[in-house]
This record gives sequence, C-alpha cells and structure tokens, in this order.
Amino acid sequence: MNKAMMNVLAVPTVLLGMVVVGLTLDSAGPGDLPLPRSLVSECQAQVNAVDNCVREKIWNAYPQGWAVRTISKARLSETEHRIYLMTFYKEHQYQILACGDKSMKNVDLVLYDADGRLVVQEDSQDRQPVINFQPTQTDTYYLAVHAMERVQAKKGSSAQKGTVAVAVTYR
Amino acid sequence: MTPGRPLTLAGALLCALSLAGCGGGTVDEAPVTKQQTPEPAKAVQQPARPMALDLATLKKEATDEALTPSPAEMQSALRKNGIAASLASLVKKRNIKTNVSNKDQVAVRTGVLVADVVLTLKNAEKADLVRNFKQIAQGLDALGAGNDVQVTIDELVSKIQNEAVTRDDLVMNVDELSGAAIPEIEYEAGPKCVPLIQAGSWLEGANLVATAIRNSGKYEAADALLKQPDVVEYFLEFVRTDGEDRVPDEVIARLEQTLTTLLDVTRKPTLTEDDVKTIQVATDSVLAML
Repeated sequence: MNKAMMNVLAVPTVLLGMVVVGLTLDSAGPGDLPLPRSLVSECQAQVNAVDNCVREKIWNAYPQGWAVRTISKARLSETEHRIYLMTFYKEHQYQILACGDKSMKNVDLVLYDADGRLVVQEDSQDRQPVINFQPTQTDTYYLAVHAMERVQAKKGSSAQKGTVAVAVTYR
Repeated sequence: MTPGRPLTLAGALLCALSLAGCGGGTVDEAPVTKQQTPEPAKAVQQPARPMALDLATLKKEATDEALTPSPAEMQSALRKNGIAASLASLVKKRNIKTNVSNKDQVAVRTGVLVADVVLTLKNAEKADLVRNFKQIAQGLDALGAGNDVQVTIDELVSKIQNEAVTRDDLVMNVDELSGAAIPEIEYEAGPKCVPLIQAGSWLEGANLVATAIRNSGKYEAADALLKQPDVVEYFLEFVRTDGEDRVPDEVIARLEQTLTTLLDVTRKPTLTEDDVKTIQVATDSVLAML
C-alpha cells in the first residue's frame, strides 16, 4: 500500500482501535474499576493485530474494485464457532476474509444457503481463511466461522479464547 | 488512543470479558516441549474438518450484524443488474436534523444521513457533505457514541474543507466509518442504536433503488435488488413497540407500519411492478417525516 493511502487510512484505523479497546488506566476516576495494565495491553495488542490483518487485506483489494460491507469480531475458544446471517446479491462477487490472532492455529469458514445446504467450505490449515463466492440469486446465507485449533496454551494460562476478525467484501 | 482517557466501569467490564476472550501473549510464549523419548509410530492423522451444522442450529445461533447490505453495495448491485442510474442523483436534499428528542428517531435519521453521505460522496458539494457529516456527528453524540468518533468525523470534515483528501480516498474512510466503526460502538442509548442506524441507511437505499427501478422500467430486476425479507424482519424486531413502557413516537410508529408492509411484500415469491411501487411509496412515507 502506498504511503498516501496509509495516511488517509490512519484516521479510521486509529478510530477503530479506540472503539474496540477504548481504554487506558492512567487516570481512572471515581467508580472506575482498575485492571492490570499488562492484561489490558496484551488484550489490546491481540485485537489490534487482527484488526490490522483484516484491514490490510481489505485496503489492498480496493484498487481491484473491492469494497467492504462490514467488519466483525468474534471471540472463540477451540472448537467453538460463530454464525453470521448475510444477505448476498445476485451477480456480485463476494470475498469473506478472516484473520485469527496468534493464539489461533487453524480457522475455517463454511458457507451455507438459506436452507442449510453447504455452499462453500474453506478448511485449509491456517488462521487466515478466505472464501470467494458469487451467488446466482439474491438471498440470505449463513457463514460459520470455526476456531478449529488453537496454539497450546501455557499451563495455568487464563487465555481461554482467541479473537477472529471477519470482513465481508464485494465487487 | 487518547492518552490519559479514564477507564470506565463499562470499559473495564468489556476488557475483563475481552481478556477471557483474548488469547494473550502467554499462549504465544508457550515453550516447545521436547520429546524425551521417541513416540511410537502413529497412523497419519487427517486434519480435522469443521463439523456440519444443521439448519436448526444455523437459525438459532446466527447473528445479524453482517446481514444488511451497505448503501454502496446497493448502488453496485443496481449496476450489476443492468440499471445504470446513479442513486446519488436520486438522493433528495432533505436537510435532515438529528437534534430530536426521541433516541430511536435520532438513530434512524443518522442512518439515513450515513446512506446519503456514502452515496453522494464522490460528487456532492463540499458544503452539503460537511453539513451531513456534522449532523451524523451530532446524532452519534446524542446516542452516546463517545468522543472518539466525534474526533474522527471532525478530522474528516477538516480534510474535506481543506481539500486535503481525494473523494476516492474518502470512500474508503467512509466505508470504514459506516461498515466497521459505527456498528462497533457501544452506545449509551442502548443496543437498539446499531440496528436502527442500519435501518435508516437501508430504508434510504431501498427507497432509491425502488425509484431507480421504476424510472428504468426494469421490474425484472426487483427480486434481485429488493427481495430481502430477512433484513426487514431484523429491523422490525427493534422497531416494534408493543408492550414497551415509553412514549409513542409518530416517526417510529410509521417506520413500524412501513416495515410491516415491506415484510409482506418481500415475502412474495416474485416482486411485481405494483410491489416496487408499494416499496417506494411506503419508504417515502417515513423519509418524508424526517
């Protein structure tokens, strides 16, 4: 991505980081609940990492005519899934991008039609799966995001879930 | 992040939840355990595949946050279905205000303005664009969106006024604002804000698409462009006022009536010329009140 574009994108990217995390502990006021700074920054780093990952993919695709509908995030433990209902237009090309954080070893995407029939399955062994899909009619579809495998957690670690960012893009 | 921003109770809870959810650095730092003794030979394991989900599970667990097409996507779909009209040229100058007392109405008005900004971004007069952005910022402020989004919109407005950003680059900024940032905010006014903002945007988009179909006479494209009963049903859930202990609002009541009409129409197997007219008239009736 060129430098000018990075500058333009800096504002919303920073905004989203603030929206998602939106916290510091420097000046907690009355009624505020302090949390250890290390835990907050650790969490923030993970969320920022998946945000940056999915954003980079989105913005790099804009010159090829892709645009973004939405970006969502899910927190999943191993073998858990999250299901999204989505409207897709006939004649559009859709690309569904996901980025799992570093605690994710394998994230898979499965697309079902409105009757629950499997349409596309992306089950490669990585944490950044992509589905390309062009519907033959306008309809609703179900997207299942599966956290198939996570990196072995250190014994006693409280890290039970990882974050997956999912973006729906179209052209 | 704004330096020194206080951690609120809600923020702390969010982060506490996030920490349960965030696979922190501890996971990444897990040492590799060396095998002390060679493992017995194993059969090669096939990688696990996601378990198949049945329709009942899909319906029960599905969330709606990515359900609604964006106004820009509606414009794109129009072209893909052979209608060359620019929705931007159909956007009416309504001078919509967001300083009304009913928060649901503020959200809907804000959504309509977001759609207008997205659709007219490339060619709108600078003054119109700036006015709409300021109304969006005011609406988000009234909903309790927090200061960060205000700062971002202020910066965007400043760039537009100083012509420090191209309109093409603005498209990406506004896509991000409308598709990611605004839906992710936790509004003080409650969880209905996001669906109602989306409802406002979709309503404006559907009105313009119905108008474009009528103007072009290409009614055969109506199914592909307007038949979205699940979207209508999703909005209706948040607009229905039955049993709620609050002052009835004329605009929201009309919106509920309109969405009920749209649900009946979009559930039909195929949309006719009359159906497209119904959609246009019904959506017009709400938008005219804003």
